Amino acid sequence: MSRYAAGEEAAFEILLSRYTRPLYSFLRRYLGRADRAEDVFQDVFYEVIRGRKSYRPRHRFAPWLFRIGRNRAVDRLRRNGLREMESLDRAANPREEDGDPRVTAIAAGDPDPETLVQGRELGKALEGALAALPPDQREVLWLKEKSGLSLAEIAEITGVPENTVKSRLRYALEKMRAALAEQGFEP
Amino acid sequence: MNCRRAEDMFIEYLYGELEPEQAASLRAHLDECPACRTRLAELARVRQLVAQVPDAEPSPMAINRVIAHAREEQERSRSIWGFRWVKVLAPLCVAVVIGGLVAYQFRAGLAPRPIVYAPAKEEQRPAVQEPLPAPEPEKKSSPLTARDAGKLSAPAAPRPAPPRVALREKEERAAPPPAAEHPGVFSADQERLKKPPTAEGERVSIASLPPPPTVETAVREAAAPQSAADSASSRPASPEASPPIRGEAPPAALLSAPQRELGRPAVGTARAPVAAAPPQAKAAAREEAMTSSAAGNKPEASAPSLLNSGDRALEAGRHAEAGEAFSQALKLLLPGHPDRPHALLGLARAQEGQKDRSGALQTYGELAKESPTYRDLAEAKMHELSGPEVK
Repeated sequence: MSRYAAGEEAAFEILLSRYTRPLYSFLRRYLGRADRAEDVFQDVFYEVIRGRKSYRPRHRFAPWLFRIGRNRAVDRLRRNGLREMESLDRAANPREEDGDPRVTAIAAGDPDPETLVQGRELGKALEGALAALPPDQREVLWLKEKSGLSLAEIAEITGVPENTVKSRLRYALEKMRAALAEQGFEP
Repeated sequence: MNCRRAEDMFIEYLYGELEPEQAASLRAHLDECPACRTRLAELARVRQLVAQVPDAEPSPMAINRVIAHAREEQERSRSIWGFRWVKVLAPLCVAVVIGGLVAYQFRAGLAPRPIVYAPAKEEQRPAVQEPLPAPEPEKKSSPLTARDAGKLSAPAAPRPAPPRVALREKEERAAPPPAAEHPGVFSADQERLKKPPTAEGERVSIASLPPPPTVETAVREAAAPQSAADSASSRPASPEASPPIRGEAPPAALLSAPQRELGRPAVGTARAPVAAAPPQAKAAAREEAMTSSAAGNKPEASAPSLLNSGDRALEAGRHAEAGEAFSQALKLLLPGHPDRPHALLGLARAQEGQKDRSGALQTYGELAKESPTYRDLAEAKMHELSGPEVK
């Protein structure tokens, strides 16, 4: 980001390639719908572009980016009049919504048909368990797993104490474990 | 450490954020407590599974829009900065040039106008006339031929100014030789090259030195708004000021407008015959440069429109049309062009839409090779496309 702030145009594309997936995934989970997530995703990077000159290199880029992303997502939900957390499948399984069944195969990482079926089922169970989490717990779990942020940074972004982040994470993992066990997947 | 305390540390331990000594004490507890060990292992496994859930990704159009926006902003800020600098520097440059001019004129005694037009005061005359003897020896030692030098020095010496026509003829004749001797050297420099060391005082040498070309040009340009007659009428009153300069180039005021136009570039370049070309040549060159640059830009200009139409077609689900537009754009964009990833992404997406799996694979392969930015994305797509479920 410092390079981009200093005027190096190519640095922006590097930033974009590095953070597109984690940010969009977070927004997609948070907002529940691909079109909204895409709008907010673009807004976030537009803000990064606009704010490049005010960027202070002593701050890490990722927390800054995700803070903007979360704020924009919250605004978007407020504008829509609801904290919309979608029904399990639609909200938490964007690929399935797009009619793409390959997602679970990739998740399983195994092309063997039998394993594939199992992988697909595990994928569904995972998506279901994720979607069943309370939004606050899902948010911190997803931020921690996908953004590479520290617990302290997540606390700063979400505006809660670090201990709250830790407890939310622990509850989230325990609920996931219980939900998977219910589906027959003993972790 | 008890189990409750250990559980409090699980999250930080799982994510590697526990202090080394705390991690050591937790490990010690885990060695002794199989229940905590199992619990931690389960959480670790869930964590691993969550990490495997694939990321969602935005459409290439969204990424392209962001990239396009970044470029626009970059361009805009560049042009804004350029404009600001021009706004600041232009008046500054003008002020410096004018200031320099005024200072130079006063130092060299070349600011005759106020004196010339002032009511005749006897004490002013000598001040203006004093530099008069100075040009004389200098002219004799100038690089001109003896004949030309003689002719040139003639009008300077006597008090009444020579008829304009005669002076112009002499100056025209005087003009070519220096150019022939030192082609490409500024006329003023030529005179300096040939000038023997003078025994004259400081004032004389300053007065006799021709001003640098830029100053002379600026003097002429500053005088340009005045009428030619106005300038000419001022000359006879102070002929002593002009000969050292005018011996080099025809006095602007004595030339017709076209001649002035032609004579102006001669100050810093060769001589009048050669100098006659520049304005037209410059205009022609400028025109040529513009047309050639326009011709050169033509493919550049059409590529963005192809990319835009490709994007629109893609959004509308017209994959064949989109593929065609992106293919054409790719022909115009050489490898390394910043818009190529955009075109490759679009083409691959269009090929996917047309169920052209091998084509899409190949295009994503190219994208992965050409653009580090999109390498991840392209490789993930290739992975997807080469998966067995696609069959």
